[in-house]
Amino acid sequence: MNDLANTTPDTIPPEAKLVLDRIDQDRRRFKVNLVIAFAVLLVGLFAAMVIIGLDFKFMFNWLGFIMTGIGYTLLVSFLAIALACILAVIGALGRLSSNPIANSLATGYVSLIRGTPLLVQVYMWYLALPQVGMALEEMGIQGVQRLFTLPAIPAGVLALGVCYGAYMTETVRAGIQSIKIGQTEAAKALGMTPRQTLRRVIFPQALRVIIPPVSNEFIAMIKDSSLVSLMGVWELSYRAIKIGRRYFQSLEMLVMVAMIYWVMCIILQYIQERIENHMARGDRRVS
Amino acid sequence: MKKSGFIVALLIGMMVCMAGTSVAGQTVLEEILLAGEIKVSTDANYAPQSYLNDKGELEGFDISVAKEMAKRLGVKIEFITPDWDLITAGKWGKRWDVSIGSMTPTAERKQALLFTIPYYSSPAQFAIHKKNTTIKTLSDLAGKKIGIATETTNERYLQRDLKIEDVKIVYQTWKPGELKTYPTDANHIEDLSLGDGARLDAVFTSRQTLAEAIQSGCGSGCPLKMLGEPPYYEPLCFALDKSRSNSDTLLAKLNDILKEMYADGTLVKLSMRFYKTNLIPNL
Repeated sequence: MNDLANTTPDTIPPEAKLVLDRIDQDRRRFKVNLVIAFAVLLVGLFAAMVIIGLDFKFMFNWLGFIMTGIGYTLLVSFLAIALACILAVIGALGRLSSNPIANSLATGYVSLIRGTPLLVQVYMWYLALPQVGMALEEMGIQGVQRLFTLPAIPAGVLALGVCYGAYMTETVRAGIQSIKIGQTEAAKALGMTPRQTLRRVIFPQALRVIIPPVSNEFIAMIKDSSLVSLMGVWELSYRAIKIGRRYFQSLEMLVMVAMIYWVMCIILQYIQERIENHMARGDRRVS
Repeated sequence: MKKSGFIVALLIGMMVCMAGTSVAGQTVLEEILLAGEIKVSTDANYAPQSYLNDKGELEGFDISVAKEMAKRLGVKIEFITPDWDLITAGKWGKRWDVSIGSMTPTAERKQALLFTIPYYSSPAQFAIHKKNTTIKTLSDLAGKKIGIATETTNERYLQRDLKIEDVKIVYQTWKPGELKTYPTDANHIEDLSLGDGARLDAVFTSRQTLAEAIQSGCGSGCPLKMLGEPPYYEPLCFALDKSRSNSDTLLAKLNDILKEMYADGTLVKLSMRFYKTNLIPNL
């Protein structure tokens, strides 16, 4: 209706125009009110920080040092999400597979990883792998211990990637299953093999369903990447915690690092919206 | 199937390559000298032992001692900063060669770690809030809430379960009301600074940490005061991974270097610089 009105303005009856104008006006008023409400919220938040007596000068002095940790945070998160995506696709195919070995492996992986805390997994990757290497070396395979003794960053990437891979396996599986059976049947009727069907018909459509929850997982991962600070990676939260303890002013540093994570997530949310709109362009109206 | 076969082949290939580079039967000392670098773990949570300075670099007594040790060994130094629990647990798997982090050689730790001779000793110390007027002696702490850091000798002492070789431990006759355990000392110091009795009545840690907090912590000095004499002094040592074979020569070498640093006054000088007092025992 709106599109039609814009292209041929002469034909709108005056009563309809009044209604359309009012709708427009309401929408504009809502936007202005929304901005005001957000501004009030921000001022309130800032006021709360002043009231509890945060040492802003101290925070400002260390801002640059803490911010340099963003590099490690992003590096770990990006590598981990890439690993998670690969694992998720393999895992989802396994979960849907009629091969009992592949199916049980994938189901076991998802069950084990989803059923244990990420914090425990981070310690396991860091502490348990060298033991495995040592045991293998004692069995006579030379040099594996060094291979298994991962430094902090690869161990962190593995821990996060494997963990999120398990959650995303279910997302991808649901995405694939959300494609109507008729699509598979039609592809079969056209003479496509199951592999071709998956690649050309199912995946492209499933991707659209999968993208929003996957971006959601990525935003969650940015924050969970703080767990690698346990292993001594100098990322955002490691720096904030150490400086806070050094000067016995942990609260200031934690508030600051929380703000940095928040801003990062706001930016990522914006990017997520753009990607989502792009993926959905054939399917829904993009304003 | 074809793909997984490829991955297995790749893994085996990698293992073979790695195997080629490792030499069997080498001592840890030889490995370090060959690499030209020693990896030292430190926990940067403790000023003035080990902390981040104004430029965000590692600094402190432990850091200076470590650098001096590497210089005398003739190798470069790399610091690794894992969580304290990961260091005390042992089984480091060659991630780092030695821990220089003011560690007390307790009986439990000796099961997982090897210790050098002590490089200094640290007085344990109770502290209360500045505004408190009712607690005057250590025995007034009976029934009070006391903050301690986890996996420290302070915790063990208050649990009456502290064993340090060559150190006679005399436990207090009174019993604390509640022990509140924190990840690290800075946490309980901040909690006590919130106010007298707000979350804690007293804390128990090393005198150096308290002195640093009172002097320059919490913005303009934490509102704490020290209470009574140190109940015990603990020797502090470098630690090596017991599960790593052929560590004996490195241990002997580190002991030699420490003896040199005792003899030429280096340790005393560093102690005066960072602690403003001499914490170096007579050897």
